[in-house]
Amino acid sequence: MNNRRLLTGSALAILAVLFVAVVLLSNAIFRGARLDLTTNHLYTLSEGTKKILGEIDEPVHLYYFFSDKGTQNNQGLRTYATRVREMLDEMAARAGGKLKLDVIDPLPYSEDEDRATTLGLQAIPVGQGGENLFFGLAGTNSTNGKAAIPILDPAKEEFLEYDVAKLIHGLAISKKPVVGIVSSLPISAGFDPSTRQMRDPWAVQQQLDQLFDVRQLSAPSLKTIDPDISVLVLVHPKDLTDDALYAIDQFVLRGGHLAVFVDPIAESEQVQSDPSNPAAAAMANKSSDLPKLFKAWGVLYDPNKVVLDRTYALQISTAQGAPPIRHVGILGFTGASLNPDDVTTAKLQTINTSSAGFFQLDKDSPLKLVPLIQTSKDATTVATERFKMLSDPKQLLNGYEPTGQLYIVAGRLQGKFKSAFPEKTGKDHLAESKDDGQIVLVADTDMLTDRLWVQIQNFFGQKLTNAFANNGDFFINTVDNLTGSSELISIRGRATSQRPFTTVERIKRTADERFRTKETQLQQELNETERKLTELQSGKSKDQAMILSPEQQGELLKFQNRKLEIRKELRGVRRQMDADIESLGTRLKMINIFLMPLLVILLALGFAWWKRQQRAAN
Amino acid sequence: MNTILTLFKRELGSYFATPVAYVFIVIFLALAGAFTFYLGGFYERGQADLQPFFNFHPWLYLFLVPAVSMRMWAEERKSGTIELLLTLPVTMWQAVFAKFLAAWAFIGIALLLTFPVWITVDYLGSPDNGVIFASYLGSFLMAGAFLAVGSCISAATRNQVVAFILTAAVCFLFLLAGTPLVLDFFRAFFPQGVIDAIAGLSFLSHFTSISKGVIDLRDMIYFLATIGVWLYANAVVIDLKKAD
Repeated sequence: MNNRRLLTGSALAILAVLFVAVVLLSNAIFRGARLDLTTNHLYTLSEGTKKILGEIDEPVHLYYFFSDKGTQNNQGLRTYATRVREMLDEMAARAGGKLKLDVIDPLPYSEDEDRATTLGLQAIPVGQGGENLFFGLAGTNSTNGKAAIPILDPAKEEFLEYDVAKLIHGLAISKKPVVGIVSSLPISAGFDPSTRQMRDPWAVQQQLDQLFDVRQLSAPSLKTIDPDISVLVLVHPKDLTDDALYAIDQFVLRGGHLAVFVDPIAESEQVQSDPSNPAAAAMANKSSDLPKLFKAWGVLYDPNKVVLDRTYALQISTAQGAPPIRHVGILGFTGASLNPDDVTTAKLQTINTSSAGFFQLDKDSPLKLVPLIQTSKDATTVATERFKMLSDPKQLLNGYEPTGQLYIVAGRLQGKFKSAFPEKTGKDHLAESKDDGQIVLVADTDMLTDRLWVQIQNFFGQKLTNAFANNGDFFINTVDNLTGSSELISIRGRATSQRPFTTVERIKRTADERFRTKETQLQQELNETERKLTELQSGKSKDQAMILSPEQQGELLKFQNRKLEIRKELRGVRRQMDADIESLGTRLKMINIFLMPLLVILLALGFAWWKRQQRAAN
Repeated sequence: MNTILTLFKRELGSYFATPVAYVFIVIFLALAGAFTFYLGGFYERGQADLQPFFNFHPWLYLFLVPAVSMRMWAEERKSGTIELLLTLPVTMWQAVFAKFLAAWAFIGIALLLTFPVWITVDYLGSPDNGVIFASYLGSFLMAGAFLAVGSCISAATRNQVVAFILTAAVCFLFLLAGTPLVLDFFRAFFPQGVIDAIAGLSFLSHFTSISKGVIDLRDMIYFLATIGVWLYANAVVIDLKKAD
């Protein structure tokens, strides 16, 4: 008996060891054997990444730093670290030996720690003893090129693949990308004739200089575009020569990436003042357009129209002491207006624009226009002339009627481009692009000016920039994204987080529409009352002008009563919406908590009753 | 195979012969719904996924699965029917396996009856149905692992209450294996490699990994190995106790 017990005991012990061994072994062997059931295939390498990995010529060495010991208490981070590690392993396996991966656990006060810092990683201080934690990725190539992701942020998980692929791609091509700028606005440093002083470059230009090899190209003498240049930025193109247009056209067809900033009104454009006609400066044409190229691409853009949007209108102060008012032409795009799936706009909080235009795609165009910045449905357009004459921004609200259309203020144009110069021939002439191209279109240049996004302070001779909007990030993201190969650009961020309850949103939207109709009604009645009051006023004699006549008082009283009524109705609409949403929730709760159990109980009772009947029959 | 099927049917049928099964299903469904909507704030958070629903599954199983498994063998032992069962022309393996499958199918039925919540989320928005499917699969596998533990412990004791408490305790350890609570305790004695191995034994981490929407072969192997090992131990224990 004792023998048997011993035997069984040891059998169980062996079983336990075997179990642990199987689990550990399978952990090591079956890495990457998995079935990705997510709709967007979140956990599978995309085609773009595979292509980049397949095209590495000179070996790239990656160093993955993860403080294993320092993160013992942070299981969430460890899980993410494993995910990163597995993705890197898979990438290394797919690169055919051209990608080497070193996994390093930098212990506090070790040489590895110094190496992490030298390679550009950022230490995360933890604990009081000055210990640091590292969780980042660095890479080197055979020509001493270095690049790093200083911190792998779990909040940026959906862009992990893009970020790592970008790092590898950057190391594989091994030189600083060249960015060409053609600008008719004073974006770079230069001499300002009006102040007779040197002026500073715009903050966006300063940021660009830090990251890229930037070349200013002169528009009048532009005949060809250097093949070195991988991204061309056009800011406020005005009356470009045919030679310049042809150069840009061929640059795009060759596979060059282009970013275009046009504007119905560029407020920063300097107009020569004419002493004999001071009003001319205000009315001068400050718009830019690229008609010939836009036509060839099938892009519709009207420099005579400005987009207005009540939802994203920014508050501005017009005069000292006056309360700030909402300006429907100066917009701060947030939330849903910024494309969450595009790497250039995802994670950005606000982008401010002023007197922006919009783009549309000709319905015959074979190209695709993906919105990056888009207005809400509460938007409309207005003629540029009206915008210029404006003395009070509130006037823009007169007769404001939203068209219900979403206007694209910035978008990404994709597809095979055709030349705007089909009549040209020559041995280097291209009539159509070979591969899919990328052009980013933005219908505002003011967004690049400092005043819309950054404050620059002088602090003991140091310039401190303090951004209050993400315009600069958007600009840098765009250029950075366009310097990548088309494969890299094709790796979209795969947003996971936002899957809202559309049914509830619909209830809210319907209520919002009702609310707005009521509000418009109120506004109309107010206008009507004002008109009547003025009418009554004009009919009065001069000495009574300062006193309200009984008719006027009656009219005013009527309006006030009506106002109270509508206010009440407005409150009713809101209350009804809340009640609708809540009752839907309650219904669903009841169904999910009680309905099924109730059915099961009924079934059980029915079954018991049936059995009793059977027994009685027997 | 036929013997297993016959035994399986008999066992599964016996669950529904008593009101206990219905009480179990009713409690499971009501709790799953209440946790999802009240503790998980499913409706208020406005996101079309079933995270608040599946997050509570390990904890629901922690109490409900032992309640199912406690009588699997303890009852037979107490009433003496175990001798009868073992004198039938079935092998020990077949008996253990059939009993386990019946109980697993029973829990599977309870899990299937939560389908209104899937319909609800599809009505409210457009969820990632692949993720939901994977989560259901993960939840079912995890229930199987809980059940195998319970089955083995039930065979080791005559007392159902003891079986319940022991099962809940062991499952609790398996659940918590990945949390700092348990790892810190072991850290004092073992190097990091062993600690990671212990963390790799956690029900919770494997379930979380499947419910992200990725069916990883390693997670499948883990759950199937857990079930296999505990069932094997189950057979060994019965064999040992046969004489008692």
